[in-house]
Amino acid sequence: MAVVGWPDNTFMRQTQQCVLCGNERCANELTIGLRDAQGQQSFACDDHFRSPRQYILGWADFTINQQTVSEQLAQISLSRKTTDE
Amino acid sequence: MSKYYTELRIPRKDKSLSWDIAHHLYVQQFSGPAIVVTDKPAALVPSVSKQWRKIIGQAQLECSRTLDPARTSELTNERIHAEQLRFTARIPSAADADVFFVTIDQLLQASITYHTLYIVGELEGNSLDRLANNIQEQGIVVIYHPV
Repeated sequence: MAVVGWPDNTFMRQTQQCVLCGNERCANELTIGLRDAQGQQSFACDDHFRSPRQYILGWADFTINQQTVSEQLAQISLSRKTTDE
Repeated sequence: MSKYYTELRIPRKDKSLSWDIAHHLYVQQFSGPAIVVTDKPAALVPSVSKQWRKIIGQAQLECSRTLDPARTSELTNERIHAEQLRFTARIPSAADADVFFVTIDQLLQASITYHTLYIVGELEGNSLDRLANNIQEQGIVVIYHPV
């Protein structure tokens, strides 16, 4: 319900976007989520705990989206490699 | 030097500590081993396990409700993984279980690395950095405020 600390080598903005609903939230309204496709830590509104249904579906959708992003990043990396060669 | 994220939590008034731990853990279940530090490990295992089974049931229900094949696949994947997660109240050792419930002293004896550390109750002079010594880079420490 409040993110109060983060790794020294990590920059934390005063507000973070909830990856489940897109709203900007202060650190004291956030819970720590999953890492995204680029390895960045994600956050979500702590309020989403109130609805286990939305919570489960929200994180499932986040994972699906990140898998798509990950595949796209891999394709871009591959096409760059091919172009370089 | 901190290498982990820290989150403070207070369980909602209408929900138990076990409910909150289980729901937080559900999202982190793929991240790696988790440790729950508590004065009464043996007492907390059954209550978190019970809440864990309820979340699995909820995931199964959502899976049966959805017509989206990607969602069905992801929810099935999560449910299967969640069903296989092993909870134990023993000193953590590699490949022994996935979620360990231990006292502070037991945690200090352990040598495995873990991704998520839940701390229930007072730290009583033990510094957080000492307790989280074996946490993975970019790991998560969740501290439950005594109510």
